[in-house]
Amino acid sequence: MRYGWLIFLMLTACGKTSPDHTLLLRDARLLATLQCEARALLETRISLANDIRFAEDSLLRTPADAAEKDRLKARLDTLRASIPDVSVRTRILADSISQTLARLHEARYPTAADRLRLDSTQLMLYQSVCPE
Amino acid sequence: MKPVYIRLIWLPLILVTSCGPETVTVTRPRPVNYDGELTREWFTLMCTLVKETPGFYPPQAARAFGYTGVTLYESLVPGWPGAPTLAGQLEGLSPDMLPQADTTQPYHWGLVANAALADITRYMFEEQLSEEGSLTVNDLEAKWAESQWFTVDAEQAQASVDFGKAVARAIYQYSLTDGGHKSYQNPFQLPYTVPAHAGAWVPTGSALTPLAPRWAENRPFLAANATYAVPPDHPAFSTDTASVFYKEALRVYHTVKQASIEQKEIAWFWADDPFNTCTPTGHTFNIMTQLLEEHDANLAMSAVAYAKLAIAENDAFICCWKAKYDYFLIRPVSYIKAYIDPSFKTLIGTPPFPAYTSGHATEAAAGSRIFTAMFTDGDGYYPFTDRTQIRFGFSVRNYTNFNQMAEECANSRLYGGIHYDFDNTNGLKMGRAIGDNVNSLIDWPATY
Repeated sequence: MRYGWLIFLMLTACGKTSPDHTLLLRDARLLATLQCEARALLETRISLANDIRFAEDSLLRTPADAAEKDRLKARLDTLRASIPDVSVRTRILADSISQTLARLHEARYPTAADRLRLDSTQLMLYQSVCPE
Repeated sequence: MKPVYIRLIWLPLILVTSCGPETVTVTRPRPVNYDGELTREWFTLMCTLVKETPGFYPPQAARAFGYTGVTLYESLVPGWPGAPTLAGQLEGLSPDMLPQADTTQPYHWGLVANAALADITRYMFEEQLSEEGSLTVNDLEAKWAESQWFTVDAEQAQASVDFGKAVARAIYQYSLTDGGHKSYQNPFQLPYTVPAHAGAWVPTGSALTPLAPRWAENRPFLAANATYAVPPDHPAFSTDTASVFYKEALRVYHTVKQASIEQKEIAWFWADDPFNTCTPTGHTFNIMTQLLEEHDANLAMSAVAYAKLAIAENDAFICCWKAKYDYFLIRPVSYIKAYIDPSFKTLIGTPPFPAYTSGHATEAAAGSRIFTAMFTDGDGYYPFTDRTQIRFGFSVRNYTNFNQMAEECANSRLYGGIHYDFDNTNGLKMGRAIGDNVNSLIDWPATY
């Protein structure tokens, strides 16, 4: 993928861009932007899920130290309390992405080949839209 | 030469028929003549409801999807020449349990399916359904009812809805005796005494008892699945560093420690989303929905596809859960922490039930056999892009074969550190057997 952006520049630089190609780039960029947003939210959820299970693990293995147990329980409560917010944000964004994708597929990418073209262009643009 | 009166005998008949109302030959629309889009929307909603309704863990979700798929198919059988009923083919379902269609009534099969799916969804989630969830079900039912209602006369429309609801009610009644009814109220089937023996499962997180320990007592749709889809014994538990078991655990350890970026991505992709998963069954149903959409499948094809997958997934979880509690095997994380490295951390969370065999491997393999039968000429070759997880921030994943997809799903559990490799390989074998049974032991329509 390191050279994906270069290939993309070469492709776009070769002659006049067709209207179809312009639309493809626009659609792929929109999806890549949404995917980037979704990826950031996914990493938040993964991190939260890890924090919760590691805290649970510590709690399981904590010796009979009441103060330490209380501290871990409080931390777990705080972590778990943040699940609804991140879940709602995830659902709203997921619905938006699903609808956008369905709309684009139906309107301009009806065949499997069309959709693969959109996938690969999106992936290529993702590197620039969403730097690591 | 015939007498004249014989020749004239046709005259009154000609006169009578020519004076009556115009005779039109009506071909009643069959399920194959209807669009399958409404079914895709219902199964997409099912995924959302599983995510948002408390108590729907993988076994409970597979059961809900299971009865929903059976209901959809069975609701269409009377309008589908050559479509065998599942009554008499599924364990415990006899023809007298199903409502009889009025053979004089020209049903609208889109309305029948919509009403059946709406009601079985309500039955599967029952009082556990949130107010918002309930409204969503009502809205989807109304959307499809309104779009189809006025294409037929009111009596026909009402009869169609009534018949769909009657089938849903009958399948719900059938579900009451399978052992899983309202299992969402007590998904861990408490009280339960955790067995303690060398190599036994121990808690890996906050759940101190494992999920659904008596799930294997549930009635499968196909008895043959419970009889034949059983795994071989796993390597004998041992802490000896020269033993096969130790080496398998060490393999998990090294795989996690050395996981590539790609392997981590695969582990996360198939683990689905923390806090947002509609379980492995839901993921496989989402793939089916995508495949049906790509094929622009009609109502009949959609009904066969969803019913096959529904039966396979329900039975996959019963059979897999039987293995899990027959063997009650310790998870890799517990073994590794005890005998290899106390600081070991898995890449993804270990779910609260025993290791052998892998639920993901079993259900994905069962699904892959259904996909293979539905969408290929039997070799499983099918260039396929799984786009079901884009909305959660994952990239698409590409496959050339459904078997390859199932194997990646199984391997993802090794990459994540939550299954031994033999959990996966033997889970795949069980799942393939289950999928093959569903394809071959049930009499399905020849055309759709």
